[in-house]
Amino acid sequence: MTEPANQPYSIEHWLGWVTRYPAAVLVACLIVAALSGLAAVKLLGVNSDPLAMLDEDLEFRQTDERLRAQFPNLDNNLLAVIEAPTPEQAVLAARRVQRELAELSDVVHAVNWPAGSEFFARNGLLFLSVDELDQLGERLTAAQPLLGRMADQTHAGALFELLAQIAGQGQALPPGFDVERLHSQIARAIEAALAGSPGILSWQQLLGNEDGAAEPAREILLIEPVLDHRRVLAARSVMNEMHALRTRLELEQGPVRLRFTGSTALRYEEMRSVIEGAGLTGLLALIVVTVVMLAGLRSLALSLIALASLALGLVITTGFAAVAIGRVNLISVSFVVLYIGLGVNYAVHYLLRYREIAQQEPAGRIAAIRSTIGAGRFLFYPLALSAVTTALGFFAFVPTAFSGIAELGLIAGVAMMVTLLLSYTALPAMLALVRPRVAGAGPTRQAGWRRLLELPLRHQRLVIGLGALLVIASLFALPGLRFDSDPLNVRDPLSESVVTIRTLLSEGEAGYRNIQVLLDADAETEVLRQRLAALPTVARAMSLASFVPDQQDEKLLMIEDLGWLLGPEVVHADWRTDPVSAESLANSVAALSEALDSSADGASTDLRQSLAQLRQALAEGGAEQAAARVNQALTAGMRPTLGRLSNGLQVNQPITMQDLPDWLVKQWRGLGGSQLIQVFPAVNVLDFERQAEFAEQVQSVAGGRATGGPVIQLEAGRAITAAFRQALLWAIIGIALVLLITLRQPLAAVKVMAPLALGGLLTLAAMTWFGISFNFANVVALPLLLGVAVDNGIHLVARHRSGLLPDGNVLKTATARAIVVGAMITAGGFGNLAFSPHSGTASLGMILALGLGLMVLATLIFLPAMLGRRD
Amino acid sequence: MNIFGSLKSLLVTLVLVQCVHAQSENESGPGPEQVVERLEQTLINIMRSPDDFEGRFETIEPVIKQSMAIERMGRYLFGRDWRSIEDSDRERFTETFLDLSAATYAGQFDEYNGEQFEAVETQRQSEDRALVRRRLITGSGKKIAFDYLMTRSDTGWKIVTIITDGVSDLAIKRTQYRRILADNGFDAVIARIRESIESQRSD
Repeated sequence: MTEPANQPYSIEHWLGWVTRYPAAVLVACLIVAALSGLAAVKLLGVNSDPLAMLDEDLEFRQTDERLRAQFPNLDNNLLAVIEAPTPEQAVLAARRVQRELAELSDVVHAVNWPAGSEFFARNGLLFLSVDELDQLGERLTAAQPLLGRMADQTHAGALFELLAQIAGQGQALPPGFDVERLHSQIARAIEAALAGSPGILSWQQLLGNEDGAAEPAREILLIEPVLDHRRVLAARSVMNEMHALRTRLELEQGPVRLRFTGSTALRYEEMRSVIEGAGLTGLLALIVVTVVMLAGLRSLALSLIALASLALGLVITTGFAAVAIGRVNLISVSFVVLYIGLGVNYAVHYLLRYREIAQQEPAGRIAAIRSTIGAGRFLFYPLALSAVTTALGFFAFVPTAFSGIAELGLIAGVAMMVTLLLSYTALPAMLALVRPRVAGAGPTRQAGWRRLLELPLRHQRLVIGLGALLVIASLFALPGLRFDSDPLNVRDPLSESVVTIRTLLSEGEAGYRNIQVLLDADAETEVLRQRLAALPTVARAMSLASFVPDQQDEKLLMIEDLGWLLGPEVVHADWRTDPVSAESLANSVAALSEALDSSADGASTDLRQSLAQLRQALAEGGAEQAAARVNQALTAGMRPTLGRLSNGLQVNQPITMQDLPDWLVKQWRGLGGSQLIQVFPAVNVLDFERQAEFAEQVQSVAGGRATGGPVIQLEAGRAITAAFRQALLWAIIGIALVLLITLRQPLAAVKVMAPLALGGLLTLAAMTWFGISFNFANVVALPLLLGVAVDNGIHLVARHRSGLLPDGNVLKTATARAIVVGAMITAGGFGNLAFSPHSGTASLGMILALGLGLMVLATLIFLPAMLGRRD
Repeated sequence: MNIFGSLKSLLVTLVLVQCVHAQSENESGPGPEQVVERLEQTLINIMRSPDDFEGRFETIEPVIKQSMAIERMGRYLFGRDWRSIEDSDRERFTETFLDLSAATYAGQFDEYNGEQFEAVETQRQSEDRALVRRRLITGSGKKIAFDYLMTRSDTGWKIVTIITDGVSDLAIKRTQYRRILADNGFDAVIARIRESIESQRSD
């Protein structure tokens, strides 16, 4: 047995001491674990802000911090998005939701409905362009006879009588008004009302010449939520109340829907998915690990010992995280699964070696203790080396600007040390206490397997040549790799907040992907705003001054003229539905039916049919209810649309800066007086490349004063890519150094690293083939994999050097078996992350499992081929 | 010089100026109701008179010219396009449209069946804007609402729009005229107005 010269005899002494006082050692470990557990419960917090995962000293983070300080409402907002088949239903629902939200002062600071605000209701027409205002005027003038008549009598009877007159005279409506369309829409509304469905006639669609079947109408309310930052899910009570409100108002399913998004909802749902994911994947990992372990160790007692030491390590590591960092973030929380996958390896190696020795000894106390000490002595060197290299893989991220992963690196790196420590305290102590008996017979393999295991040694050159070919082939795939820094893409794609914000973004309705340019209180905004607005990727750039419309004198004159044309009845009407009795409605229906029948053209058959239905309903029992329902369906849509219009027609003063309401000013003037320019993208921001172009152009004009989603993603992407390169370099250098020092032969170090390089390249190639991009969460994978997988090479080289090889083949040893079992456990543990609803975590799991599999496979095939047979 | 003395004289001047203003307001001819009443009385008169179309036309035309702001109606009828219409064309329009208004009344109010107008209310909406609400009661007792939107110009109160049972005649004409203007030009509008006059005459 040619063991390395530095094999410390003190380890044997130490293990002798541990096995002599196993109870004391275990109690000591338990006390440490209990204290750690206490610290974790008391001290550990969660930081769910993805941006906080990047170094605070980066310029864009400082601008962002200033923005958040000046405009706290920009940051923690909650959007209530109401969608309905018609604009009127959306407005009516929004009004109800706004009222209800105002009652929930426990969880809602303020509710804002900009589109429904008094300011915009009154001055809305001034915000139209002169051309738009002219077109609106034209449409309203064309509809004047209808509006003028119904302003006074807002009920279905008046509508039918007017239609009857039009049909009779043939000319009372000007040519701009499409009577056919009016007829068919009224017919539809009558039928819907008689069938009991909630649809209403949309006057906006009627007047706007819009098609009724167009996209759903939408209203957006801005909610300032009350957040409880002492809790992991700061928005939990808000979100619970919101969901309860939605149920109460019956806005969950039906045609009118209420959905929530905005940063608060996005963050809440992301955090929940991460926590659920951590729970689910942790449990799955535990199950997989247990099953693989039972199969590999073939002993319940040994498996339980491994699990117990795993649990101890997990608790102690969590305690460390609580004391040293104080919080976990979206990425570092996945250390739980990483730990289960990695930590158990040490125990498996130890216990398999224990088994191997114990099988050759007679059963009994002495034998168990001798096997424990023997296994520990034999494994100390490779295990310590593994712990150091894996920790290096983790620690490589600590010096980077990506503090989210730096924290994970610190926690997981220390976790490796904890595991090593436990493997030489709690683990041998438990072995000494329990003294598990192992089955006498060693594992038997099929003859086919044995022949397979000979392949790398029999065809050394061929195998090595194949490896070189694979390296070259995978190099070609590398240019296809992408880094995707869109935080939406790492979140659960099916969650409500993500679906909703995507809809809003794709229709250009949300300012969620705006760039904010933060300017000092005395800065000249207008020149900069115009330069920004002129950029090709910019749709528009707005400042507070943009809320003072241009050409107001001309618009006011046009509005005044419109008032003269439409008449005072229309301008001052309240547009509330007036009641109508079944009897008088029946009379109007009869008049209209008659007029339609006697008119020359045979058109409007659908209106005739629905009128016939209505006549029948008005003749039967429940006639009053039918009349009220039809009346409602035809006229309830007037108030939201025409009421607003009437309101707008009464404007007679131009807007000045002093007239802007506080809630609006607050959105554009910071607490310290700083000014904001909001830059709206003209490109599809869901396309990462387009968004980056947008951010770069704005930065070229506004420099470091620009912040907001696109800028942050661009800069964060750069920071993280840099962090990744840096970490990868550190990991390679660190691991190479450790290998050089320990293996003492540069060639041996190269032989251990070569299969890792091949496995890594194949992983990257596989990522491009499967279309997986790097993102915030999974970028940690590669340096980490290097640290994890290098262990296997070290184990194989150590075993190879020991000379204890059946048939001179290192693949036929317990070491190789432990590598396979360990890799299956680790990959199984990592792989479970793929089931996390959080897409980022899931992709991390996939890359880790795939990468580890490829690296281990490469090590098992190519390293023996390079090492050769030893006799 | 005594400062208080000069201040006092200044105040006196100001008060005097205000009095003159107030007086001129009171003395500015007939109020909006009177203008409307005069038009309506003329309408009743032509209905009762045995005149033919031309006779009725001659009677009503000067009253319309006096009581209606035809030039102003042009602005409402053509909207933004009014500004780009040349002065000579504007005059042509004003004359022709006056004829149309007179012809419409002469054509529609051709026989008397006991109709009478009555006042509903008058709203002074601002210094130069008023709404006079009236009602026409037909011989059969049917009531038709007539709302006169009025403006005050240098020459006194004038009617800008008449809204009959909620329907604005100006709004209907505007949609027609602007369409013709956009498609065929101003001359076509004038031709169209002349056509309407002829059809009133031949009815």
